[in-house]
Amino acid sequence: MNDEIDNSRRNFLKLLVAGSALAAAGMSLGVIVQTLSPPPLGISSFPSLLLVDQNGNPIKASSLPLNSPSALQFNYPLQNTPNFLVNIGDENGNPIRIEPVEVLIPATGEKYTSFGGVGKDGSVVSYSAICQHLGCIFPYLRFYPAGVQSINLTGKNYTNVFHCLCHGSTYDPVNGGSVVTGPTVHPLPSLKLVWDQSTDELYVSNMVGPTIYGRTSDLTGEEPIAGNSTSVVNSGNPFQ
Amino acid sequence: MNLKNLLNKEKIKSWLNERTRISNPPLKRTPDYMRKWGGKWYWTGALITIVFLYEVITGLVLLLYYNPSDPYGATQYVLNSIPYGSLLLSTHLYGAYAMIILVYVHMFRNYFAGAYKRPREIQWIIGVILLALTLGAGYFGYSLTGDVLSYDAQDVGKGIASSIPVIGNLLVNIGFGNGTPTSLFSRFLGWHIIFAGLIFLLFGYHFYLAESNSMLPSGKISNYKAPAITEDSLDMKPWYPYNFIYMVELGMFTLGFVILVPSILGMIPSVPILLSPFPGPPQNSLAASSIPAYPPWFLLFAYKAVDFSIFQGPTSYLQAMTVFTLIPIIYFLAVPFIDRKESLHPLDRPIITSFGILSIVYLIVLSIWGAFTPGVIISIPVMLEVLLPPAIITIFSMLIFSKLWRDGKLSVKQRDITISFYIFITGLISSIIAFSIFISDTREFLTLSFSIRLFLLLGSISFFGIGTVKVTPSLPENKIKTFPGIGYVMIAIILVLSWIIALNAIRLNPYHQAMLVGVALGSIFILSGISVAIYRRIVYKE
Repeated sequence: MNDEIDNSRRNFLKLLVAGSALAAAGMSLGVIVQTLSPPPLGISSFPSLLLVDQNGNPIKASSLPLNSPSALQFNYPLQNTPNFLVNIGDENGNPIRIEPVEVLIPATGEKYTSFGGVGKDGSVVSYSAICQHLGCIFPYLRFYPAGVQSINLTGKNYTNVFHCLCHGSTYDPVNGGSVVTGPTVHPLPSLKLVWDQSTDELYVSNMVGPTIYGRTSDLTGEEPIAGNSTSVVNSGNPFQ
Repeated sequence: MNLKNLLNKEKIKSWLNERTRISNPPLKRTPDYMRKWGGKWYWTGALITIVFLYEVITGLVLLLYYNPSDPYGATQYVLNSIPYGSLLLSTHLYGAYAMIILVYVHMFRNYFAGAYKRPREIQWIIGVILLALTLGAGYFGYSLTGDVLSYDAQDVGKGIASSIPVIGNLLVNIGFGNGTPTSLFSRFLGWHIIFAGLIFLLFGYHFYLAESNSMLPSGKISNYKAPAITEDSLDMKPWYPYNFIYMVELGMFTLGFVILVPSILGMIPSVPILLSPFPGPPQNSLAASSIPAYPPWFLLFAYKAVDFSIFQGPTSYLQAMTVFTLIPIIYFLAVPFIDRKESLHPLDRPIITSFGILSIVYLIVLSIWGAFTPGVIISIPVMLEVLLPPAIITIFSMLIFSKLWRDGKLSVKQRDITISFYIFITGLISSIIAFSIFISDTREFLTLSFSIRLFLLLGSISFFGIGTVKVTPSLPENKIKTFPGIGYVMIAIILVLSWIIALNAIRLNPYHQAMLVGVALGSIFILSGISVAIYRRIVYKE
């Protein structure tokens, strides 16, 4: 092939050239691989957000209607993650003080302690508004307030429950969102509300229970919520 | 069988080769002169292929992030939130620009060389279609960003399509959807990919024909007579490794520049928006109001033509497009059947050659004119003053040169013409830019004196250049003997330098220093290309 340059010198030269080509190829590969992987979305810890209405005015705990079937929902901890905000009372219209309770996750047998109610009467609570069975949301997943609506399941009347019309899962918000009837094997995640006694304003600051349905973790997989507040939207009465 | 026997290098090589067929691909061998320093003209198609592959790879990555319902948001997300995203997007854009320029270079090179003649007529026609598809893919891709320029491009496109009688509205619906932004950008994305796919398919056939018809040989060998075929001969060096390594070299240089140029531009503040490697402001922003409605630069020529007052009435767009786009395309499609003489020499076809020169001149003049005076209506006298002198000068001088050449009084080589042409184009562009800045103040002042001065000056320079430019013999024999020593050192230095650059560049921030990484990556590619070139020179003496 070439008489003047012997094979070993040629191979050495080839190696040198291949070396710099390798730098180019390797770096390109590294860049391409990195562009293929989008940075994970989400946040590192649960934020503390003020609950506001759609005009940005803080929600007053005492203004929340008792036993209302209308769905008040807000996103937390990320966008597109709805949660119900309810003020729970008994059939006679008296607020029920909701205590933190130990909740069982039937799927795993694990237990956790839910967050109790807040407000003047301790009756305002918040739960994830995404059904833990297969992810149905309002209006399929809805609240049946005592004295206003009830649901008859296998001959028994339930009231003060979250019930999902998709497949019939029922949750008890008085007892930490625990499972009342299947097919779900996970309770509704419970949100920690903080009530500022002096201003009557509400903050949301944490979440316990199973992971939000459809997520690998509560804090990833969606855009973060911008600012220090999350707005509460009234989605209306599903029974009308 | 022991391990040593299994790992025998020669055995592995022959095993691999028997299965991958890497060392005897079904590709034509080429004579040595095509791989020599001055032989780059034979490889303009290869350069396009390399850039096209780069576009496919970067485009497929970008496809993973595109969202037609929020195009600007998706663009900003790629630019700001993806590691090296700004490098990816800007080099995809500049790769497209490079491809468009190279397609023009490839076309005009083969036009002047007479490559469209027997037996390459169909190959040429497919090439012209590929030019149209490339511009189409470029137009739709450019419009995908959702910035103000993309909406401008959409308006211009819609205006042209809807001015076509009868089928205008149908074309608008086919091209741009039912009117919602999501439908518009879904269409843009769809058409962009469909056009790229069509380019791929037609390129396959174009390449097959190029291989079957062989490379157009140098005029010296074909004696400037069609059919010009490079006969396959056993004296030629095999495709592998000679052409393979040469393709690697070309690929390294091409990719190097495609990455390097936008990376440098991306770090310079206030690059003019038509050349900026990044998208402009969103359409509904305050900043957008100060930007004139521009189509992509590669369609500026058609955009300026629309401003000519000679084209009037509701079909003015259509008239302008017919004269400045449709007729030229039809001409280039038909040229194999218009010019059927067997001579390949540019001076033996003065009118055909003049049309080629004029196409380039008009393309450049109209584009720059459009960039500096967007939307300014041009009256008929001004239009004629700008467009007529180059036509007269070019055609008459070509006829005179042709006559002198036929009489044997003028001896020119192909290379002289190309070098003169370089000078001509460079002078043309710089003069037009200089004059256009002047024009943009006093807009109507685009007078006879301008055109005449410009074209007399440049015309004389360029054609004076013909015949006076000495052809330097590429790499004289005595130089090769002295090469190896320096060559070894240079290759070693490049190796060390490449790795130093690479190892430093990967430590840079993949977000706000992505363009610096691009400069590093582009430099490594070019350095490696130089290294391969030196290797070829030392080992293959090419």
